[in-house]
Amino acid sequence: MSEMMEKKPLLEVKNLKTYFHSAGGLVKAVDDVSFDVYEGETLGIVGESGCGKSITCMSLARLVECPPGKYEGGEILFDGQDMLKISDAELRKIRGNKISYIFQEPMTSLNPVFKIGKQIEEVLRVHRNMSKEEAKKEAIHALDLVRIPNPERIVNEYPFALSGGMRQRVMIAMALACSPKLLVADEPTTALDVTIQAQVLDLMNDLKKEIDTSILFITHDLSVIAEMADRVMVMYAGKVVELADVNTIFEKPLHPYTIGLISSRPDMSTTSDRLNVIPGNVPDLSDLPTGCAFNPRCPYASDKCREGISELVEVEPNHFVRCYYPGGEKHDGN
Amino acid sequence: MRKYIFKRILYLIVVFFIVSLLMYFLYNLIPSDPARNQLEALKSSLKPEVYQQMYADLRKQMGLDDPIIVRYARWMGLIPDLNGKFNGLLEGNFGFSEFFKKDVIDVVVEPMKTTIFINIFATIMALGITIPLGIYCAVHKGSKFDNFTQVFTIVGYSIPVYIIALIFIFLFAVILRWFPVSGMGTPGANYTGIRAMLDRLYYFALPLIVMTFGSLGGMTRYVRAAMIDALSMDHIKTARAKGVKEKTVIYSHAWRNALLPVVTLIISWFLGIFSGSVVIENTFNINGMGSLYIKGLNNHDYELALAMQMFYTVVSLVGALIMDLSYGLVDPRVHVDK
Repeated sequence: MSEMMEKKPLLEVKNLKTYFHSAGGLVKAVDDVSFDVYEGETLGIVGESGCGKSITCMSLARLVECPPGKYEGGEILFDGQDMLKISDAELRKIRGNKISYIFQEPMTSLNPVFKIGKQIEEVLRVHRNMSKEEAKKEAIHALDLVRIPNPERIVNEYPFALSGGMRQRVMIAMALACSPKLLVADEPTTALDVTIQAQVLDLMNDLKKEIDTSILFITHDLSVIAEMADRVMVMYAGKVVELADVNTIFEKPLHPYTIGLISSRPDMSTTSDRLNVIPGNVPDLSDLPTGCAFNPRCPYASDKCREGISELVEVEPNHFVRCYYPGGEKHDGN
Repeated sequence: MRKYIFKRILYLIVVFFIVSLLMYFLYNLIPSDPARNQLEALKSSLKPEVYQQMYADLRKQMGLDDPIIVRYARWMGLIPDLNGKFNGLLEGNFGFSEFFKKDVIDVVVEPMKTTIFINIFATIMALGITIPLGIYCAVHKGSKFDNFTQVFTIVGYSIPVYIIALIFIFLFAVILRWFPVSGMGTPGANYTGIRAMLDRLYYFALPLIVMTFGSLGGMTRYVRAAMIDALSMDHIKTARAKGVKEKTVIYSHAWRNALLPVVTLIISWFLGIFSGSVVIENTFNINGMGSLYIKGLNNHDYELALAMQMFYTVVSLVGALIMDLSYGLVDPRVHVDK
């Protein structure tokens, strides 16, 4: 961890705010989120559906549709540039080249009317100015890299001819074609079955070493996070609630929400029939409770939590928590 | 692919014969008697017995007393006619128009030219306006321009074409006097070449505008809806994340997908080139296919109406085949070889 800190951050997100102005009111999907991604590391983002983890990642390359979305503030420093300030043309040079994306739904993420080859070649031709022949050769190589059998044949296939796992490999090949510095994987294995999921995760880990890229990995699956991530960021209702390295998160979680998440995993060693759950539901982002958004579900909540929300505090080295009572200890008199 | 087309053509022939049989039977239900029509003029000057004799002879000569299936086969050209020659639809004889006293083929040629001329212009104009407009509205969904277009198109879509025609005549021909009220050319003028063409366009301008305007609403909304669907697909996000230009995202990635539903519409439009609009042609006094068909029906000229009907049958059958084949071209997921 300490050696990680010596490395310079590849991506610095500072106080990012991405809001949606919808008919139902203002939705603060990403509210004052700050984090860094260092070179060569995998940062995992976990959280329940609708906690803003996808929007956070979409915001990095300004992929959130505006309107209804709006970047209300903050900075996204990548490679010395503020992604929120650069022109569209400069942004396009970064998308797919230095920051690449893999999305959740392999079945719909590829254009159904273009051949696989053409879709991979497109990235190379846009960013590498390759000729058609060079791009095709490179596309075959990229497919080979993600261990697709018969890449020469697959480049001439349309997406409908491939299975979900294969399509996700194509997505990975496309994302890695230009050797990006940052790969953003938005729940890349959620739609796949477990065996395929394991293969895809192994592949991503291998390729990460091969092309030396950082990964921002979003998932709601804690077992996937345990396998992939170096550090983990936990989000709740548009805010970062805990940030630490992966072992700390699993062994010594401090935010009540993280504690709830970790203890709700099925555990082989207990004899209980029922799984532990966090009571209540994810709050509606357009109608958040005052104070800490987690307070209605939190066993340790006090009046203080209902009135205000804590800052993200470094309670121990490299372990940040946004809670007045980290670890659930009640301080009397507070 | 070739096998598929061959099979489809085979079906097409079967359907053609079934439809033609039904049509022939139906048109025979129309109370009209060609033999009586021919002799009607002589009726008063002849003795009733002589008239009856002539009438019976003529019916026999025309083959009207034969069973309907025999008459159908003769008309179709499957068996020799009374002169012992094969002379039916399949041999290129479309029949004789009792009303115009000419072969049907000669009657149809001029109106067909007129109709095709109008329709080609109207189709190109309509597609040329609606497709860019629909795409623009889809891309700028929710903007002021889009909202205005939505209101405008729903109004255009809801007003029947004959009302639009009357309003436009009143506006452009009566008040502004930009275009003539009706007709197909300056009376008495004997233009040739380009001048004749321009004169024609001048006279056809108003019906063209009305036809285009009438089709703007539905078509624009259709293209807009298809494009919005295409733009909301997941792979559009992928394309943007790849760093592709927004223009490429819209006109290549999204439009190719929007084309799948739109292509049906485009092709059916081009097939519609042959069929004239009855309302427009009658309103503007244009001698096209629509008004000819009505004329044929009103005057019991059923050979003419039947021949036209058969022509449209063939056009729509071939059109359906072209449409199915074009799906295979536009959408790789559709295989047209089974």
